[in-house]
Amino acid sequence: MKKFKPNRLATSSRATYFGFTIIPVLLYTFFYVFSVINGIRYSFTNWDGMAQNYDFVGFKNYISLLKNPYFWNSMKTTLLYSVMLVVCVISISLTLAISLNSLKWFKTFTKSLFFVPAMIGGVTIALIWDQMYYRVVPVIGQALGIDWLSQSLLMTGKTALPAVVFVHAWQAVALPTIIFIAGLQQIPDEQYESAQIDGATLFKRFRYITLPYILPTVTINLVLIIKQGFTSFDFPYALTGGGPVRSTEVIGILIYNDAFKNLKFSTANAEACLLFVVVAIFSLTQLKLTSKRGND
Amino acid sequence: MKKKLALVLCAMLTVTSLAACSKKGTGDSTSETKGDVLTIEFFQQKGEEGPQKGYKTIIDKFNAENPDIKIEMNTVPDPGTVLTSRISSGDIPVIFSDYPTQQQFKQKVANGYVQDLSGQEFLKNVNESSLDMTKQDDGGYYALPYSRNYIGVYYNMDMFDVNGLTVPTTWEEFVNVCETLKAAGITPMGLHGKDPGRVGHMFQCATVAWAPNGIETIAKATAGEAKLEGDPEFTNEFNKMATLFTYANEDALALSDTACYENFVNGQYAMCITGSYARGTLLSSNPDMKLGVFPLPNDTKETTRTLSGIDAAICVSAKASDEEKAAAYKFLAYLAETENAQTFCDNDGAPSCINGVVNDDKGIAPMVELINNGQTHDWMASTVSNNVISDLYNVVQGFWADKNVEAVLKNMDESIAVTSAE
Repeated sequence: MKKFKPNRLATSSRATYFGFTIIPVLLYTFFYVFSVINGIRYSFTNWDGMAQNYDFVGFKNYISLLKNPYFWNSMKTTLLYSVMLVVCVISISLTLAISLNSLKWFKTFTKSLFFVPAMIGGVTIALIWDQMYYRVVPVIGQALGIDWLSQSLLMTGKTALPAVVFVHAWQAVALPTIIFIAGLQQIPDEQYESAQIDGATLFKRFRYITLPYILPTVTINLVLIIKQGFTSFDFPYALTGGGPVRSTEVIGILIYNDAFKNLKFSTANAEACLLFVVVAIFSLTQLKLTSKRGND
Repeated sequence: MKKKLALVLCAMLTVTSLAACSKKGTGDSTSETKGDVLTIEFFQQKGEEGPQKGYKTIIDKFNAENPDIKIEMNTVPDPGTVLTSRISSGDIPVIFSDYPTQQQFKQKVANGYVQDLSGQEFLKNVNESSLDMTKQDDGGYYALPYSRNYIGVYYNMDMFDVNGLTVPTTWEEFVNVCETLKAAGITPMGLHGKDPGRVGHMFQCATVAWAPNGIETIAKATAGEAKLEGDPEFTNEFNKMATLFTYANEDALALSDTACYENFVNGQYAMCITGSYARGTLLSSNPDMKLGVFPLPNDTKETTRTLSGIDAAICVSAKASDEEKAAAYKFLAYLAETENAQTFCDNDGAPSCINGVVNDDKGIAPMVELINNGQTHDWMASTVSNNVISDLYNVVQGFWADKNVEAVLKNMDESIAVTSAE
């Protein structure tokens, strides 16, 4: 056996490692890139999902969507949904992470307990909460004499959306909590100790030590949750099916209904493309904003 | 050396995985020949236990009598969506069940996916009114209509007996029945409206019962030739619906269909408006319950009509090979024999489309009588596009919440203006 020169060794092993990525890359290309490009192409046609022939119609689908009040309604609902989800999940998971991190005993056990909802499927959780809203919540509302809580929260347009977001948030806090804990564990204890000696209050310690350290994790979590909010489908679909009267019809449900119920595949594709643009804009702006903050 | 070997292995893996992909891509037929037996897929859309058992019994008998053909039934959740996507990807089941009076089916026919069955001997076994409903725009018949569906008022026979009530045949009698039950401390009617689709079924039933030309008016409205606001028939319909709500459970908008059925079979309500599709579920959740069904009554018995369409209709793929088609025809002819259709009807419980089949369930007699008299109207989807209908469901769901008759008609006009503009 002849000896490899160091740099040749590096090239050769790099090639080997690259070789291992060929299959995932091909699968990714086939199932993702190809489908996305095809989807964009269909959004410029009048394909109904079934016909063998279809024509290219330019931006017609997009123009009629922009004129459609239901599309704007679902965009608004989706935006509201995402904002509520982000606020709920970030505040709850940060509080949870800080509390869990300061635990002295049963730390791992308690952490894993809070992680359980993340291991249950979305539809399963939605079905469990569907029963809770119908059977349990009204009983609590009646016992406490709270009017709006005395009937199923999914019943009225005003309460349905927050009720769906609550269920989604209930599951979604688990992962950000873990990421926050990882961020918190990087903070050296000495900093807190010296701040305490200097007489910093609890809030000041959070503001000047904790927050700067966990800012990168906040960015990651924000991207994750915004994406979850904008692409949400399973929770609203299983809980309300978009009702009552379109009050929980997020864009995911609109896309599904247009494609499979109304057989307007090209319109549905155009909706998905517009959603993609919105998500991209949000993520980029938000990445920019938080990275600027991080450099200060 | 080792690294080269690894590279070669990687390349081989890639090639084999790609080969697997391409192999899967070419398999577009849903039947296969194993030895001398031709296996044929029968994709059927009924998820309930009753009809599945009916088909299974007939298929087993057919397979035993025809050793060269093997029919395999395939039932999946959300079958309508699955069938659409299978058809759009060219993977059409050789035999499938569908709803031949709906616009979606007409699209499939127009695209040449469904085999023309006109002139086939077995269609002669189908009763005339059912067959007429399935006639397509080109005058051809593309499906074997097998059973009828309907929406009606299901009732707890024992509860009616205890309170000395009989099946109401007019709106006035119906209100009296509700009053009597209410006075006895029973919630007369169980409604479920969480799913807009289910609200829609009740809405369609009410339209056929109380607004005789309602569906035609909606069709005209989509063409811009009519307005629903101020329409006397629709005003009448929604006023009656508002009256009905005073006898119904207050949490209707919170109830899913299954939760409502559960309450109904447990005796919380005396009646429940739902479709023939629910019968099996109701009976299996409480086999001891004596279940009856009657049409939602209009002012007189003579003007009462019920919503009824073709429930199961069996079609053959136009893309199948001649050999597969021949086998499929043989199976369809077998299904259409009175004896086998009777087997299906006994399991399914819905009125049959095949001549000579008798429905001996006394509970559904009022419904069968009306259907046999031809006092029926097909579903909205036979004349109005799904796009328009599904949004009307949302509007009516709003009416369930605010019960404002004037507003609902105005909102329906607005909804039609938006959905029909596309």
